[in-house]
Amino acid sequence: MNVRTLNATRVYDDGYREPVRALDEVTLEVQAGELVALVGPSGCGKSTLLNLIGCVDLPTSGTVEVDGRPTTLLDDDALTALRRDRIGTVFQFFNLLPTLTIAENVGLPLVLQRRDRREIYERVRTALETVGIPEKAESFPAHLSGGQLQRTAIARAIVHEPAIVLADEPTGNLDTENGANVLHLLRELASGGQAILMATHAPEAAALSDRVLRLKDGRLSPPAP
Amino acid sequence: MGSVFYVLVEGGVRKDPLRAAVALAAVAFGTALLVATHLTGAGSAAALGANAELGLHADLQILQSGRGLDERLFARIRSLPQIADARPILQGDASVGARPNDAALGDTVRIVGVDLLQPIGGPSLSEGLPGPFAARGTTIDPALVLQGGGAIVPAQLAGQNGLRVGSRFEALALGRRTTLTVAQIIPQGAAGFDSGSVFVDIVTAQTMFDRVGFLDRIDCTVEGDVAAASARIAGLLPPGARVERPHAPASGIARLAAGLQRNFAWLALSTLALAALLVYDAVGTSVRLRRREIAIVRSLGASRRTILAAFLAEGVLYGAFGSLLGALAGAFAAERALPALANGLATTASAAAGDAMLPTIAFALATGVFVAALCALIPALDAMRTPPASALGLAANPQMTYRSARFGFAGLSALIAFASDLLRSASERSAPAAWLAAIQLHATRQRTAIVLAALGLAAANAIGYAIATASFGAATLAWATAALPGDLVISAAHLGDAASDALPATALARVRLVAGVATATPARSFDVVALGKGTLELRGDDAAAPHSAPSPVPYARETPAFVTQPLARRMHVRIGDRLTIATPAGNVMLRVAGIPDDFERSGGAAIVPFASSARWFGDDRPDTIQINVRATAAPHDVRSAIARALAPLRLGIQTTRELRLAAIALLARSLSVANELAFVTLAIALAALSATLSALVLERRAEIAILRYLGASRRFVMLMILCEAAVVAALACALGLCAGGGAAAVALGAIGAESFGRGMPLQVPAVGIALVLAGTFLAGILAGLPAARSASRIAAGAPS
Repeated sequence: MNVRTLNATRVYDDGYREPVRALDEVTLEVQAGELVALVGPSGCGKSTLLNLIGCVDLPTSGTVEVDGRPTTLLDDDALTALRRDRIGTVFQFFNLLPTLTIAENVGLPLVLQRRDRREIYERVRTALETVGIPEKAESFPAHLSGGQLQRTAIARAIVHEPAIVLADEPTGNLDTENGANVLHLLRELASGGQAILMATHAPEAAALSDRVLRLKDGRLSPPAP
Repeated sequence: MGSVFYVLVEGGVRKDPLRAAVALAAVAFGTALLVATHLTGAGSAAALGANAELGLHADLQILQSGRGLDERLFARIRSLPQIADARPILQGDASVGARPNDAALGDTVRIVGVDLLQPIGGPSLSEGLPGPFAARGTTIDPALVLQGGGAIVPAQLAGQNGLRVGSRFEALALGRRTTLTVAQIIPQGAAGFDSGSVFVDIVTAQTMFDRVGFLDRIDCTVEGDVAAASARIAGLLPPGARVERPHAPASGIARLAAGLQRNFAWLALSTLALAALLVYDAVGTSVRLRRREIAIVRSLGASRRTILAAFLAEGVLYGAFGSLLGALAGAFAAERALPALANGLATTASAAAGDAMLPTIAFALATGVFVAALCALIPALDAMRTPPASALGLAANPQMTYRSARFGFAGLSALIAFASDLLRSASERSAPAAWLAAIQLHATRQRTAIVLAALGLAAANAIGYAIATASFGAATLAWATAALPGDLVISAAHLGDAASDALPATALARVRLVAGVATATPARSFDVVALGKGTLELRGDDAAAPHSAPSPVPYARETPAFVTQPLARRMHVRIGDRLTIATPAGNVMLRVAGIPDDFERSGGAAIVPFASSARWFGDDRPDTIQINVRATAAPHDVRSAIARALAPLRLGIQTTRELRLAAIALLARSLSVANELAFVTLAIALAALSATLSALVLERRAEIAILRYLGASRRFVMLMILCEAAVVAALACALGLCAGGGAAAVALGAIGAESFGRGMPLQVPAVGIALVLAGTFLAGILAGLPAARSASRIAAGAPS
């Protein structure tokens, strides 16, 4: 399995206010080729869970394993390396670097891995072709539409063949048509063997998923019978 | 406007306090330099100009052969409107103390009688004597000076004879013993004081040398046209008296000092230019950070003029607070620095400083406020033009700059773009941190151009000063060696006796027999006419003349001569040319064998062997004898022995070795002060670089957080920011080298031309410049460290 959490709990306690139990003993798994939708109302803990799996945060208790490695045993450099090598992320607001071209944005994870230039070029080209915008390689983000920007973000998330792609509200900033196109793209990637965990409000996103996990007040609801 | 100012400006300053502090510091420092250099200017020049022959900082001297000037002439001269100051002088030699090997005679010292109610070139006696005396607030009892035979003695003499303040000692002159009391001791190495001179009140000296009612000399400081004053004085003089300009050495060092002063002023102006850049940057940043607030305020009804006034007020405040701080600091620094600079002659500078204090501070305040307001104008105009509607829609965008940033910095922006493109190409394969740094630099080049200008200016300053220091040092050495040669110089000219402007012919032989004298070299000047060229000074000087090499026939009557630079320029001669001069022995042909520098004579001279000039003019009497003392002998002992050997001749003996070393040391101190100040300017510019990089990191928080999220380590992020700092520092070094070197060449040429009639020789200290460049580069990288650390602490995260 690519990602697993076991009774992962995250409590925020700043010492001034009441501690907030953002995540409460969440256990889940995401396998290769699965598109798992994580749904729930605002403030239910979706982003917290994605942060734990994305190695940006550590659980207060319980474990999170990415590609078989427990994150709680890792220091900051190791977490950074894990994030760089094994995780891809698609954000709601794209978060592309405006000073880099589309190709440079997509290739950034490979640059950080210090890959060979030729290899970077080939893999970026493949990724852009996969998401359907190879002709935009030399453009800058300011010149692309919302749908194209999100495709670029998806290309960046998959270019380094991560263990899992985390998508946080990938259609939240898109119109209906572009949103549908992005969802279909994620569906295709999952069918091609990529593990994807997607936090979403969109009902159509849940419909395209292999599994739907419902979060409420930080706890996973049991699946409907 | 007040509340608008608070909303727009105060918030901007709070968001970026480092930048505001740097701008304020730059204005303060520039103003402080302006004030300090102006106030110390006269002090330095006076300190350098005053020397053993007290009067040589005077504009005119009045002398008379024979018994001397009637002292009643003094009051008439002093009352002339053109005369700012007049000082009576009477001198003679006396023996002081007893030495084991000269039990009867002791040390020969020059007794210099002056009006001690007028201190030596400075303010009133009640305020103390120069340097350490003034610093300690020591005063001299006038009664002691006037009635008790008070004497101001050099430290060396005091040490040799075990004298302290209040000690009594006897001086033997004309066979009579006079008891003197030590009123003060001149510290060792006090610039301008020959350690063989003892100062007493003029009445004491007149009594000692039986010349009551007479003076050797009246030294005058003129206000206005010196030539006109000279003509006016000449009309009052009795037969036999004459008025003339002081002996040449002072003019050379005065010119050097004036040139040095211009360098200080240059430093002040360039620091103010740096301040101008940083104020421009600070106000511009304030506008950029508050763009949204400006739009809100405009949409609520604030007029454009109100916006303009608010940001203009920010600039004026930088100028006002900065220049006020700076003016006070500069005045304080001048007061403290003068004793160290002048090492004994702060009274001269303190007098000048006191008179100039208020006008200088007022000028500095006005300059600081004006410069800051002017530099704030462009960003303020830009703020004024912010349209309410479009500004409201702007997201935080690190690339967005105010339009005016492009104004005047297009060239530097292009340079940064070029450098970053080079770095990008070079690092694409192997150094991702540098690659990203290059991309970021390119994107923010307009912002970075301003701080590049500031750092480049500061680097240019430091390099320019390194070159100026080396060049001035070399020029000072050349001047000092020419004007104050050897260890001792004997002359008769300073005594004002026309009949003995030259020493007797036998003096040279007698001096050579004195124990301790290694070499004695005579010299004599004559005014001659060069046929078809005009008049010139012909100097017979074995120490400076070319060796008489036998010249090939048919030029047997040709004599090789060195024609110094000023004369060569005036007469348009080059090496190998010939000059024919008219002498009592007939016309003589001189062949120009060399054209050396001449910092001593503004008109230059033709220098030939002494024997040649003596033969042509039938006069083998020297006007000066340059003496080099044996390594095993002390100059003071030799001086005393010479005075005894040539007695009863009245001589002027300068301990030139001391004066030369003191003058060189004083200029070296002044130059090192300038270098230190240049490095302070560099530090301010480096602080500005640090502030700019920190601000850029702040604006790029979101991007850096994304990079961290994508897997960039903290170390990677640090390296990226340090690369940016390194590129800016490297560019600043390159700019500084070109600008500093060029500016130094131009300035030294101008200063040299103005001071000496031609450019000052350029000395380029390669090692020093390399150290400045390396230091600036490394310091630039270090300046990026706070921003780099701040960036590395940005947590990985997705901006919402």
